[in-house]
Amino acid sequence: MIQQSPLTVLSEVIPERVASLRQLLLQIDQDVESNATIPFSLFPSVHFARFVIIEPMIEQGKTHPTWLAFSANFDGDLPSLLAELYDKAGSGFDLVYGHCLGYKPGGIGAFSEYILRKKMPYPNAFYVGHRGLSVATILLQNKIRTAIENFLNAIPQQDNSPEQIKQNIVNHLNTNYSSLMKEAPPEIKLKSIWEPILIAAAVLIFIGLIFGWHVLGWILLTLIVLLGIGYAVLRMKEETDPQIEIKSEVTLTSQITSLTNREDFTVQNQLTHLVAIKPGLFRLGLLKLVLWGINLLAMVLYNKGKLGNIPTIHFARWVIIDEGKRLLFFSNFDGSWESYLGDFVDKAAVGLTGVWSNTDLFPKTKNLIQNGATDEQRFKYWTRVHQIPTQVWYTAYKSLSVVNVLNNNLIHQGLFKTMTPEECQEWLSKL
Amino acid sequence: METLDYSDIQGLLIRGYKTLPTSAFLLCHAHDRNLLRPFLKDLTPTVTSGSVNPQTHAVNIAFTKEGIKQLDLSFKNDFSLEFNDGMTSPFRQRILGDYNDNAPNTWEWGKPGENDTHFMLMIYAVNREQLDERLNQLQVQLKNHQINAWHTLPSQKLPHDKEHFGFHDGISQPTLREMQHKRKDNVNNVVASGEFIFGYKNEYEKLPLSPVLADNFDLGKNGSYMVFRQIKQDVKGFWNYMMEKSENKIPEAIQLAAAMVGRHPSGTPLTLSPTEDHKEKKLSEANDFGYYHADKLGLKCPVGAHIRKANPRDGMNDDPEESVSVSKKHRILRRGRPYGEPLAPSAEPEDLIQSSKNSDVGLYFICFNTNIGRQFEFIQQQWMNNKKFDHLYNDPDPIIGIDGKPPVNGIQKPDQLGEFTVQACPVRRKLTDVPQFTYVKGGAYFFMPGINALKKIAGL
Repeated sequence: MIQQSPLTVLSEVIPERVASLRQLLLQIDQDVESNATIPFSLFPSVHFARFVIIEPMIEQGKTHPTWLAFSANFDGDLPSLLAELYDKAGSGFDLVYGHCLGYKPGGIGAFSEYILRKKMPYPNAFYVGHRGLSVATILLQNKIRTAIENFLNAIPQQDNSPEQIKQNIVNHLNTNYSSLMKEAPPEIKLKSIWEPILIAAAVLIFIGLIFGWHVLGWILLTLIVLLGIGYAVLRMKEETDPQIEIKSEVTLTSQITSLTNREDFTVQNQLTHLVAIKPGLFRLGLLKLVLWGINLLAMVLYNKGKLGNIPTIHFARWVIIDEGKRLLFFSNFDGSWESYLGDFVDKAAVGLTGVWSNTDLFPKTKNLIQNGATDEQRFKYWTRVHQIPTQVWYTAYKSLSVVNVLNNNLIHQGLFKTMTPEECQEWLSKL
Repeated sequence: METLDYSDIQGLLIRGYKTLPTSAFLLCHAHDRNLLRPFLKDLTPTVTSGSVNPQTHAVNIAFTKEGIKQLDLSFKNDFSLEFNDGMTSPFRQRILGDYNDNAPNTWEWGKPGENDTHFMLMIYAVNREQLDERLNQLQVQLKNHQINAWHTLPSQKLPHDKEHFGFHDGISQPTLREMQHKRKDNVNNVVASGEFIFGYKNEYEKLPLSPVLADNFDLGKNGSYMVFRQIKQDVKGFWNYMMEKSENKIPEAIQLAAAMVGRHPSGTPLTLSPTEDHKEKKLSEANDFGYYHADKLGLKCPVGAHIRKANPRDGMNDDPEESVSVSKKHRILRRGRPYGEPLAPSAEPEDLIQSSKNSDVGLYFICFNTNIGRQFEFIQQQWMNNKKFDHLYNDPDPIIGIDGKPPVNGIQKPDQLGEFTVQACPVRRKLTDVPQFTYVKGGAYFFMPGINALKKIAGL
């Protein structure tokens, strides 16, 4: 099964070159697919990609640098991706990274070495909406579905039986679109939630067997006490942590307008969000723990196209940056910002509150995961305040929703299966 | 439970004035802002509140952001971004899909930068004479205060509450939570009053953000945002298309149109009666139904049908309970009225199809909500215009969905024809060339204040 992976690169921008970089990125974004600098459509393994300039954070006497963030969701392994990027747009990447400290153009070797050095560790949490489907597969499956739809439009099949219709479709594709039928659909194996449960149980039993059951008992007891203390500390903090107050300032209006200016041009949208983590190790530790949990659930439970119950997210990631000071969030989703944020509140408030309650001025929470995001207007306002513009954004299949991608896969899988009449009927209902 | 302060709420929010079928909406411009307050002082006592059920006529008033500006108020909390931004800002134009034939610069009123409308007077009357009488009185008042009612939008209801395509309109309305003792309804259709009226809790159990003056006076209280869009209907084009796709057979053409609407001409929902229309109220006004259990796949009422897209009920995301709860966050109170002479007096599809007339007709789409972005705009963008609604690929709403896209590098492409999928066994039928049947000809976002707020504005 093909693995989709995240790449996040943070490079320090040379302060005098920020303006020039901004200009360059603007040019790239004007025609992101086929501009002369980095024509993104030439990268067959990239699902989504973005460049973001991250303004420096100033904290007590220390100024963090201006970052250039590059992120990609890609198929296969990192060395192949880097080779692909540099092969197709080496001079473009040289030009972009020429604005960053410590980059010396010197061919693929220098580029790879630089990226590997500046690359962030695996995100604290990473979500994939359509696991096991490469860009190539997604595009192929869309061609297959389109060919079937065109066939049904041209030659009505209402009077045939489901099996006959399916057979006619298969024959039509084999005759006229044999190239689409060469490859069997990918086999997708998803992890099960039992895996982590069994591993945890095994570890506990192992400790009990080796060190004695009383040791295990003490460990569990200590954990419970620590949890209790942690909970008490959390409740105290939740009572006193300040929350954002909604203001209707002109400055915010222009900030929001600069974001909405770039929204709703295609089926999909993107969001880049950056917020300071509440000071102290307690919140940082808690945040890491929650993100670890979400990352685990994204792999073993939310791996069939819905995060929480949100069916519109292609890829999303949370990355802690600036030595634990700020939390960066990238997301690629279907539909409008209003719809996406509405889904956050209506379908996944618990998880998102668990994450963002550890960051600055988040709406008041209770027990880590309660309230918070359900304060709808305040939460949406808070999100806009911390949302930052994305200078360059690329999507490889801009006319497809997550639901479309997954449905196309089911159509493709079905083509290669023998089916009962009932199964044929169910398969036809996907068209 | 809170109780609604009916005497402080303008009547149109509480009732649709069904017994007052004749109406006129006056777009007004105040030439001398110093005379605006005196005018409002005069007008306020005649404004109809929700505590009376008017028998002869009703008067309501709503302001545009330009009108609010004339009043020189200072705010602690301003109006919402949507209201201040306006219906025709580049972003909202994109959300609403208003390009080409719908482009705001082609509108009859409400064009970008026009600033001519400060407020709208909405006059409803039991008949033509009553309306004229009321209008004549108003003309004097307006003239005395140098207010120019520069454009009048007249309206006459059609028989059986029809719109101009010949379908029973305005059936599905949310029941306000604070009014459910007056109107028994399925709990799935009971929505918190704060979704429509400021000063009450919304579906999130919070008070909707309301404009507040510098002296802490809650200007929004018992008021609402009113969305007004003039939508021209191409009745000839609509029925010609249905006939063309039905081998010129009238019953088939009507059935196809019903599939696009989701209700038969009398109002009977396809979900309850897929192929047969029923005139009796129990079905023609039926609203107590869902999609998940009755028709998940759209075999009775297509998934992309107008009423299913405008209010998906329990049919979204394979989760009926969640779907109902999400739907409730995207409801509007509709108060639309038709305009123009119907192509046939009965407004019945059979007669419309055979009519040789062609006249300028349409709908004044009027709705109320307290959060324009989450309610009206969401519905238009995420459900009506969105080709990807539910499991669909390329189906904007066949009646009012607009797949309008902004110009690319300065070049405005024509809007794409829509697709419409009629789910069926063994396999779907798909129309791939659905043209636009409706055109936006004007519109604006208004604020309809409560009576006390109106007094405050007027300086009473």
